[in-house]
Amino acid sequence: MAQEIRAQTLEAELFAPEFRKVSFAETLLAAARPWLRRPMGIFGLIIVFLAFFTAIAAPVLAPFDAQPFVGASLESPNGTHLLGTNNLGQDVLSRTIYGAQVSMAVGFWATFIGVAGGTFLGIVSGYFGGWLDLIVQRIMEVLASFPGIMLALIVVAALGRPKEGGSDVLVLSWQLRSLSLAISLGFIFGVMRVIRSAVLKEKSLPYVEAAVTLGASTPRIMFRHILPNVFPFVIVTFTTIIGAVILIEAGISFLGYGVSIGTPSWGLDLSNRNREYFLVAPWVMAGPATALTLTVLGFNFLGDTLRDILDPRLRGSR
Amino acid sequence: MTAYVARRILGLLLNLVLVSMFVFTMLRLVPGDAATAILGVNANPENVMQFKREHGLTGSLVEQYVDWAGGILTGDFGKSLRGNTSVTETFLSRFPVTLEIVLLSFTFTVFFGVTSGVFSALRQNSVMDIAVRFVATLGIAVPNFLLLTLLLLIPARLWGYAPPFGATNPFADPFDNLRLFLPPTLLLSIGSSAVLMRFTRSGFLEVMRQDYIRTARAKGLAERVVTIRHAFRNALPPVLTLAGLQLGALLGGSIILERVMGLPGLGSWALDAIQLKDYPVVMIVAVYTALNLMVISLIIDLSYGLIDPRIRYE
Amino acid sequence: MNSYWDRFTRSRVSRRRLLAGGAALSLAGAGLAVVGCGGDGGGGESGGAQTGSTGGAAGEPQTGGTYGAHYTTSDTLNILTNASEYAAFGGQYVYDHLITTRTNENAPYVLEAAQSLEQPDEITLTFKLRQGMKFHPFPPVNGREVTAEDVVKTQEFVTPQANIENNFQKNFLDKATAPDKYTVVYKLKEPRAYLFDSRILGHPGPQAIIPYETFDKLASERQVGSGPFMLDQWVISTRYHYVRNPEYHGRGKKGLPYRDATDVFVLTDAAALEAAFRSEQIHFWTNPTAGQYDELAQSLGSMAKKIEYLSLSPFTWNMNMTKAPFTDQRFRQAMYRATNRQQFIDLVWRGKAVKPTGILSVAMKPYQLDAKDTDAYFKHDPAEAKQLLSAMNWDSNKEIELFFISPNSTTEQAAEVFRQQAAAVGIKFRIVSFGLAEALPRTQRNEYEMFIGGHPGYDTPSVPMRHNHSNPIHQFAVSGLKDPEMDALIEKAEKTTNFEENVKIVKQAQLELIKRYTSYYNIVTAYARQFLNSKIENFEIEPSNTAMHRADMWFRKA
Repeated sequence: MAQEIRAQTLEAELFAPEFRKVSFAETLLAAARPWLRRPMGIFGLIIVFLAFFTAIAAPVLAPFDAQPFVGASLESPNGTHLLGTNNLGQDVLSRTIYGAQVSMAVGFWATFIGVAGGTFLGIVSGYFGGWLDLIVQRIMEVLASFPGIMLALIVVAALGRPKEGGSDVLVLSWQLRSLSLAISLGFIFGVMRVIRSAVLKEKSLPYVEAAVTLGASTPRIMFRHILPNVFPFVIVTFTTIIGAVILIEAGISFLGYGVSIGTPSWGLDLSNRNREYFLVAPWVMAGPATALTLTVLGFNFLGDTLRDILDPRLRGSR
Repeated sequence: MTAYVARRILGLLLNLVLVSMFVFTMLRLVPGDAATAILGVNANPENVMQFKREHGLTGSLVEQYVDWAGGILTGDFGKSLRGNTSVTETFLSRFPVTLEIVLLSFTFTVFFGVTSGVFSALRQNSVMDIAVRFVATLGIAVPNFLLLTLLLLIPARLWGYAPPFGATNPFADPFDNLRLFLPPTLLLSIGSSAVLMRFTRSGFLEVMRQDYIRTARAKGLAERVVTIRHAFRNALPPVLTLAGLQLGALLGGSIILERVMGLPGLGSWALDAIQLKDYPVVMIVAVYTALNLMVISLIIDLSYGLIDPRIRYE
Repeated sequence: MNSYWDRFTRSRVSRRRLLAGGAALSLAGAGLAVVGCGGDGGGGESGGAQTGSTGGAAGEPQTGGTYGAHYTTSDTLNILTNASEYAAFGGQYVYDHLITTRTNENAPYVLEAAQSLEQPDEITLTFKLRQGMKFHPFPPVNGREVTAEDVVKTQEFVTPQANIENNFQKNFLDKATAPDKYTVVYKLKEPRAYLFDSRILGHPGPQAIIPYETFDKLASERQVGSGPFMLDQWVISTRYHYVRNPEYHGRGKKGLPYRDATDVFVLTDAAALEAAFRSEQIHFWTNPTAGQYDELAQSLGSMAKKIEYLSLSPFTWNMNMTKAPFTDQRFRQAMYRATNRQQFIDLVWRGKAVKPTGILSVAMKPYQLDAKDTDAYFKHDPAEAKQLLSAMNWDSNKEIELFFISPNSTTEQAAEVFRQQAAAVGIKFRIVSFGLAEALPRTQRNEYEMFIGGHPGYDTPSVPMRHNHSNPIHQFAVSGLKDPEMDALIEKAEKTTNFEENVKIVKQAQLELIKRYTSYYNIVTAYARQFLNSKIENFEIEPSNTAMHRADMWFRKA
């Protein structure tokens, strides 16, 4: 017991960063400085923030409920219905706002599962190496052998299509879990590869060796020492793949195998039921199309900028 | 080298077995019973049993898998449950379509991705650089099913033009075939070439800052020689890896493209089959797709040695 | 003899004359000719009679040209098991039939390979084949003559099979025989109405004339028939190219078909269909979306003729009568009260549909009930629905599963509209969709609560009335009202061959069913919508089989 405490103290002394008194404002400025030179990053950040905010606050923001028929059929954009109504008389703006819930819920959770799973496997298999590494690599390669959308379609078919019906983004996240899981599987391999190679680099650094010498437990080394050091990669992969995840969800819903009928979803609202009105009422597609494109654009800008700032390999290359 | 290739091929075969087991298990989890669905209500239990025996649907999951895998070894992928036709035959008739889509869009991806990436890097921060990057980022963000819809509707409404649907054989009528395949594959490649472009650009920029480039310049080599012989060659391997990964995305995009354009490729075939539990069809498509991606990644790994002689395989 | 079909021989109205009276396009019922029409109905050798066209067709038929049509996916070439094949591809072009069905009160069929059809008694049908008809010159048949034996062997081949729609062979037919080379006799088990239904004798699948040499390779080898077109090149589920059969005289006339070739494309995407029609790769566009039909017509301008008529396809719901709460008549009544049929018409069909007065499609004219007899039952009255529900202590938190077969955007929207209407009276529905493979076994295993969706076109009450029977025979095995009295009435109608008598019983049965708030309910009858390229002349449309454009049409050259 005493030995362990000693080890921890020593560890803290060894790895403690140099302390220097900094004001809060200074910290903030230091964090913000790289952003100021990157307007696209700020743009992305704003979009992403708006998208999440819209998803969470949809019931407050939306002028109408997404599903009831609140207007006449196919009203063109007007004062009451800013983006018009679809053929059922549903408010397009409200559906677009509520549609953020599905995209954000599935986008976030599928990415989260993919990145968390990939990071865990990457650290474990990178740190241990040997046969464990081999097995993990094999299994992951199997998942990586399919186009993401095909893997997701097979898994959704096997797990059953989601039966959702909430208007709360958290409830919806839970109801859409099978869809999120199905999409996430296609991304685990990529994340794992990035993290694993980063871990391999870290493993040979002196601090790991020191921690081992000091008798720190293996999980502790992996998740307290190595993980924080590879964390920039985790953040970067997260923001890089979330855009792709959102597009895959839209694609699956477009094909008719994603969210269930009636649920406002950008992919579903771009599918045949609205494409049928393309000639008479182009506005029914304009809302979801713009929202989908802008959101993915925002995530991509944010991802680029974060990579720029955080990924040491690429630092200064722009 | 030979030992390395042999080891890779062995691993590839093992992977194929795992892939087939995974899909097989997944499909058995899909709710619904293919036999009843296909035979209809008039079928009596005897008919259903006979159908199940014919298609290897009796016995435990393991027995069924062994049955299926045994068929594969003799080159028999089974019969489609719906059509009762050999899936190998249908596969052979459909696979050229997907192959053409993927080949064309992959060529576009590599061509546009690499050239615009290098171009953008050489003119870093110029107006053109910013424009190219903006288009690339937008290209990733717009869903391809939206672009494909517009690709069909706009020329049709303005000029009554549409590609010749059904011209799926490139040898019978190459011109019509290209009219049908070129525009949508170009669209399909926008997203993936944008990914490749950004990657090429940053890789290229990083290489250009290396000491040996400075040395090459200092030796007084022409800028073109520096760019092509020194920088390009060194920036290429990671770009190739990423291009290989894009192949998966293109195969996925092919599903949507086939659906929208009415092209009879593997993607639309598998899409229907997944829903109908027509497992021999899904199996052959899954195994083929997996094989495809694995072989490509092997080829790319091997090509590193050609590009960069320092790389050794052990 | 006082048979169901007796009046056709009595009246002997030729289809031509019938239609010449005015082929009003939005007219219900009668087989439609855009301009002119097909052969002679009524039976008996008529000598073709297609050339001089009627209804304002422009002059003599011209030869040549390639006609393009579209259809949905198809798995194999097997005309017996593959619904797409018999509904659209080979069934309409490659194979000949004794007769084809017409949705026409006075002439329910047109003679094709048969030159005459006689019914000496109620259970005997005697077909005389035209002489000198030949199969297409491909192996293994190599252009041999078509004989009665081919018809009989096809019937015998079809009877025991499980995955063929063989209601006729299993339940109607006692024996098919060929007393001589050109005579086919069908002996029935008992007298039957609806004999010429498009799913019975007019079935383009199991009633096709198929050379027996090809029975074991129907799925994959080139189709060999004796129809107006020969299958030339094909890519399964993509494009089928058929060329003119110079030897065809299925309607007793050499020289048909007028056009050189037919192309059928497999296109399912709405945008692709529009592009194909505008670029004149397809000439007939079936069921473009109701949502923008008028606007599309306007934008197509003079290149297209607009063809609208009341569809034979009912759009229905099926409640599962083995499960609560549907077994409670008060609940079903509440469902009727909750339903606002006008809203379906306005929102989902944009006005292109009407409210039926009974169980059957409005297009089945003779069987329509008087609106004032049924209006009270179809009344939209949410307040009364709520009362009925509270009387049975309905728990408004209980969720009922409403399923439809995906993908289908019209049904999808209708389900959504219905869910809203039900919610307004306190019935909660959750919409789920299954692909066909999952949907059918579910209904067969009784694993569903309620189904909503469209049906194929039915030209007689045969199938839709059976849906109200405890044994529907057809795909939705467990629908039906489960009411022995109703079962008896429906069966009685099926065996009543006298037309007037049959109509009377069917009307009575419909009324009784509605009074009991039956589980199979026809929500709306939509208008069938089509566009036809305006260069095409002499184009006949048969509402029960819209893919049937075989030999008579021709292209007007500029």
